[in-house]
Amino acid sequence: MSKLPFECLQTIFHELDEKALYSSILVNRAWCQIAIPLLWSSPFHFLHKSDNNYSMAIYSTSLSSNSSTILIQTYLRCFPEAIQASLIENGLMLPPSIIQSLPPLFPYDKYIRSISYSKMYHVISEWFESEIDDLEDIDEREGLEYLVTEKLIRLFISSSLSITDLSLTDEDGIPSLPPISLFPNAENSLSKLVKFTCIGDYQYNMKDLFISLTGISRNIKEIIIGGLSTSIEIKLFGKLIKSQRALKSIEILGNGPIDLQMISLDILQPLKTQQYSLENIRFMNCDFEECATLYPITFLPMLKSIEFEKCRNLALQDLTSLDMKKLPKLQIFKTRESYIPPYTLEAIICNSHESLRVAELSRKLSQDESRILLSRIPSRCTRLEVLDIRIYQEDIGSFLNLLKYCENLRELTVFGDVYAEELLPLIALNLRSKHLQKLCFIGRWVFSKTSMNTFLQGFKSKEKFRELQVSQGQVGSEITNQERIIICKPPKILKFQSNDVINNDHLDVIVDWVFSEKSIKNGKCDLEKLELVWCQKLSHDVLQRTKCLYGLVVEIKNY
Amino acid sequence: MTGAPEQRNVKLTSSEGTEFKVERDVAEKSVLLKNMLEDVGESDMAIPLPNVTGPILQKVIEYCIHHRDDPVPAHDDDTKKTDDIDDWDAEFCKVDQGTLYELILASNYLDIKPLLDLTCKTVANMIKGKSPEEIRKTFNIANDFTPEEEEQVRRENEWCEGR
Repeated sequence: MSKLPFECLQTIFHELDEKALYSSILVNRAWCQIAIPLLWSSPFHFLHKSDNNYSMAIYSTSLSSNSSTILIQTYLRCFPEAIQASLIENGLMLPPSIIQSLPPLFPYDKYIRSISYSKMYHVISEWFESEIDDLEDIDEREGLEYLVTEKLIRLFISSSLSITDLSLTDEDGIPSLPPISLFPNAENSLSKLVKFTCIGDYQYNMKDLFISLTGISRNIKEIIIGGLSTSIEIKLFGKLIKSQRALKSIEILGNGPIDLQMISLDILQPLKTQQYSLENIRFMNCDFEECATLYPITFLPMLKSIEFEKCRNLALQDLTSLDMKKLPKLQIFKTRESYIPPYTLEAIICNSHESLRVAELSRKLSQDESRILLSRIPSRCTRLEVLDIRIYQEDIGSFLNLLKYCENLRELTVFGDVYAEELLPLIALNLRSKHLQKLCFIGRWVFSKTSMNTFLQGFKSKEKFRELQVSQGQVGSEITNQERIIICKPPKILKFQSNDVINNDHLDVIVDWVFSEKSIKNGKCDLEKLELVWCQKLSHDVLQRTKCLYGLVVEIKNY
Repeated sequence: MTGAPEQRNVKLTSSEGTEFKVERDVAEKSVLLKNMLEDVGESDMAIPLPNVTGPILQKVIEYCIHHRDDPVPAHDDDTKKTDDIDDWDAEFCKVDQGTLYELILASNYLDIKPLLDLTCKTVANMIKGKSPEEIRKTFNIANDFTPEEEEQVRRENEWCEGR
């Protein structure tokens, strides 16, 4: 080990998590030297790692404030004496252990690479709680918590070699931070910024932050932004995008379903400057009313993923433009709870069918839209792995056809209110994918327990049922005898949601089927999880009925 | 594969002078060799690799042949931090510690990033889940901390203990 060069050791240590790094620093001096900078690159993220980036509302009190205390104590000892003195002058009673101790073994503040304002603020609050308990005035305490946080951020900006991840969120109860890209030495420490997250509640003034960052940070790969309020702010944000050398991913978030972020061409137009690098775009809770066109997006040939979640006013006029350009690398297209005009959907499918792997389409699809998609997808999107689509009674033929063509399906979710007595068994018979993991039916699927039974049996012994079905010559009349017989295994996860038809009889059929599967396959069953969400007809003893299914996870949610 | 230009073999010489013949696309898994071949062009001259012994070079070639069709990794370091090493790779890394270090050195020198990542990940997995004392034992490392130093390191870093 000792003969390995420093850079190889570093590569090895980069693979370690905090726990292993902590063991490593105690091995010997050489290991300590290498592991310390890695261990101290994002301690606040480590202490609050499970927290979502921008929703910090819920804090588990069980988080040991002890860890926070040790961390903050060590950092406080990194402060120059003058800063320590100014904190004391402002009324902070620093514990004697901090003021009287020797400087720390390492300049820990230098190694920070991730700054998250809210995570820092919360860790510091935890330290206050456990060590600075003599502050009765809430305002005074909050003021001091903010002061320590700001001083520490200033210390990081002035001494860090390189900050790669910066996250600023403007939360309730946390004072706004002045633009940190104006802090001394920001031009150096923020010059290699890779990820920038900034979510304000529209009150937060991002102007100066954007202006200064535009000059400093030109290597950002990932931007997550929310709460752009004025048109000046939006324009300045556009400039920040333009100044980047190779932006890879951009996420624009509104504050909530009724508090939408307005999107204008001042945001979309600058994206064109990132055409050689931009791979992911995500809009959530956005309103496109001020945007006459999505045209700029069609100039982004590297795009791998487009998501519109809960967006409004995407009904655009000049969608013919989408036909002209191609998105040859597009793999993921999601439009959850957003209305996308059918022509856009069709254009996306026609243009990107070779690469498309994930298509999550709105559950609000109209019948015409659904029909277009069902007719376009099968012959084109053969690589599709995840599909989320709404179907109508009249189109079940084309839906079954789709199941045959999409041989790579891993997850299939079907929305709809469908009379499925014959359809359900046919689904099992028509599925050709060998990779199916998850099958979800959402909505009022009407079928009897006999139908349910035939459906489940269809996975088991496909061949037999294929013959039966052909002789009956029913709905799936396209199926011919010459067809390759591919046995589709039962999915790992089967889910029914919002279905007021499924009752205890249906459940019993499933239970029986699982038992017979297990008896054939030495106690194993491919189905690992059964989810029944909002199925009102199921009585309360369902959990009792399924208790005998060892190894199968049954999840039941009701109103 | 009709129509593909016939592959010229590339000759490599290990530190003890043993000659190895490999197909060009296999050799080009090494960025060092790829650049050399581009600079020099077609040549029958063997490329000397004085830093790599025969047995190690043999192993490296074995790896490159198995992974010859893998896509070229992206430039930027967005390699995911995962523990999943596929079966073939895991089997490949079942060697003694000395050989593993030689492989790290060779892949570092030849600039074969996927092999460097694999071997480093393997060593990292040997570190994970062990106490400092167990790590010292595994890698035969002496503790050169003074007791006071060790205590101070522990005290200043304890925030990540037991989480």
